[in-house]
Amino acid sequence: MLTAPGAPMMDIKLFVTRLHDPFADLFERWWDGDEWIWVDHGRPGGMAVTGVPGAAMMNEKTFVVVADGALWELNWRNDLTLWVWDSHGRPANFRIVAEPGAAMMNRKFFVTVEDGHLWERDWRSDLGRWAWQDHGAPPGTATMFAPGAAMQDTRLFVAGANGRLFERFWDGAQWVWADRGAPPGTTVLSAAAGMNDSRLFLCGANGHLYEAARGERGVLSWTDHGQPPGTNALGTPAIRSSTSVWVRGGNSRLYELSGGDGWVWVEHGTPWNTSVATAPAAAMMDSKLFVGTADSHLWERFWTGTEWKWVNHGSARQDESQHVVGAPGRDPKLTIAVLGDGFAEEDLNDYVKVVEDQVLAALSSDQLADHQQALRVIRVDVVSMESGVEERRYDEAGTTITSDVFSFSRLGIIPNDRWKSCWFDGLSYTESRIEKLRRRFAPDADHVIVMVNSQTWGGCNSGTVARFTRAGGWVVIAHECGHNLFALDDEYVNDTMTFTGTSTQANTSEALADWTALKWSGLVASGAPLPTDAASPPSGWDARTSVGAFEGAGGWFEHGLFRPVLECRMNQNDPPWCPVCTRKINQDLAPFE
Amino acid sequence: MSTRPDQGPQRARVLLALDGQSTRPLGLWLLDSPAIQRDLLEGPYIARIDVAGTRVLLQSLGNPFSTRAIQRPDQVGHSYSPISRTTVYVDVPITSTADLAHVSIRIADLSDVSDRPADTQSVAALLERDTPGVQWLEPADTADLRKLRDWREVVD
Repeated sequence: MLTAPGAPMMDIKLFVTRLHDPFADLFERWWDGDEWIWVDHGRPGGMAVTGVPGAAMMNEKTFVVVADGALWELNWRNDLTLWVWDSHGRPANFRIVAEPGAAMMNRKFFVTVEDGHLWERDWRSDLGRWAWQDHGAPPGTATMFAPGAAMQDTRLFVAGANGRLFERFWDGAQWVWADRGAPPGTTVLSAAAGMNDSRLFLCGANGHLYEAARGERGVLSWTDHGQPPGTNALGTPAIRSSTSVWVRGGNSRLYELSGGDGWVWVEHGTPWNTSVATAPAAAMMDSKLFVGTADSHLWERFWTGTEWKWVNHGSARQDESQHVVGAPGRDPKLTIAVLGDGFAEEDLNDYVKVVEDQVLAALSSDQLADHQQALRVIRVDVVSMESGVEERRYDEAGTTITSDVFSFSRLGIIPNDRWKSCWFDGLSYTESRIEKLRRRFAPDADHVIVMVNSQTWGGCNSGTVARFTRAGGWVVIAHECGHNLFALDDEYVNDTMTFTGTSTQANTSEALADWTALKWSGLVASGAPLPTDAASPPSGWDARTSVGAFEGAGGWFEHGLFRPVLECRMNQNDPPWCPVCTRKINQDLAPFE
Repeated sequence: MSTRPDQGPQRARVLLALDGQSTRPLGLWLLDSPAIQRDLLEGPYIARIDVAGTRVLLQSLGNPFSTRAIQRPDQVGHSYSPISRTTVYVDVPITSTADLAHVSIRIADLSDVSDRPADTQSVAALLERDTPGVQWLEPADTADLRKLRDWREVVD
């Protein structure tokens, strides 16, 4: 499960705690200018973070409580250009029991501890360090929930264990407590969320959402906004704007109390196929906020300008990479990055197997098995938000979309089941995201292979990027690697054209006046006629290893272009590479060994 | 293939956007390993990399303006589709980042060159001559690289 999101910063990042293994860590969700990405900040001091990250300050720090009740700060160090953890310990060795809150002036915030006291953590510029200050407990009771609703940098509110709301404020000379009562007819059952330094919202034990406006001498006037339709309001409300307050319903749906001419409840329901499991929080740009869901995903509720949309941010799991052939190093290798599209966290074991069974099998096929030291293969575990990719189909002419089943994958690769359309469509960001990931995880990669989580047949090569669905198998990938990595020509022919010109590729040749000048003459079988008649090769001819010069190659050329053998991976996919292809592969890989 | 002694221990990798005419750098970063000069340059697009007026690398880019589909199930044959814009990488062999002050990247399309060779020496000679059929894209040089946001990180 995820905690509620917290600590939004600059409308481009927020933090959330993942509570379940294998990565029970603090995560950042960050907009990198192109997409939202997850960053795993780990566990401070080896201790699991237990609650919602809070008390965000500027764009550079947030605070969390860990399993032993201590406070830690995650702090951006400009000098190091990285995030670092700093320990703040426990106030007077009391365990902190709720998330830090009520941040003020970017230099102080408050926590509640196990004995019911409120503590302040304050940056003492005179001392050049943080200091704890005990604010004691509300009169006659103890604190409950997190401190919240900081106002004017001089006051905050905490719920008491007696169900009343207490204000802690600076009167100009000292901090004092004030009992601000309880919602009429009920008690306080959540932390308070502040709005415009003058109002706050909280949930009552009766499941109603209450608004409290500060009046003369701080007296609160209460407004009962009732319950969301058919359910009760739970948890700390989220303030999106001065006319928009959000709560989770007891039915695990999301609700908005929307203002304007009058307050009305709006049901926002649930994301597809799951339910809302945390309080909404981390409102941004007046147009979005976030919730954790029962499937341990983070979802965004986003106003497009015309309608509300749910956006799946996936599970908290960052992209990672691993060298699966070779090791990091400065020695030059033929370097290949393997990416996945449409593999969600729960699919990553499957993705690893697909890479092994298809990509690594292709890259270790035949004599490539003897050249593994020339290769560096980096598997990049690109975590998609959902399992699978969008699938699109066209009519026979390829002009009209007949079906489009949407799925939100990281690279936006869309199988289209059309050979003439290179089997895939893409989105505007597909190419740039592939290049971004290549540069981030495998900047020396000469080639990229993307495995697409789809059973639709498909594979497409463009520049140094090849993409394949899982339907074709490793022999298809091996054939394409022959083209992409070693510039080998096709040795099949399925057209009737005649080749004119000069073949630049190692495994095909134009007709020669002098066949002794054939580029693979040194490999020609003893006594083999050149050119060689495929219909009647010499006796004892091995279709795969006996080398001659057979007319018909390059895909289209029945005449004028010659291939070395009858059967080769560059012809029928399944046979191993022929001796001429093998020589080219050996030649290309030699500098890397 | 071989590493040339003058190529230096590092390379700057340049991501280029190509259309039919222009060459526009999109990214620049350093790699702590030498560039490899391949012995065969199958082409038809060839990048010529010069540092301080000297050719330091020839790199085959294949045909970056074409996509190739895999076969249909149980049928042999690729399908090819032209594309008007694409991206490619080239490697600039350097001994230090100071070399980046004098870089020229030129990409030649040899599709229309008859009897085109593939061995590096012959391709180099072909590019030195005013060979009929060679079409050069607009070059990119240090001035273009300096415009990249990456320049400051890599060089300054």
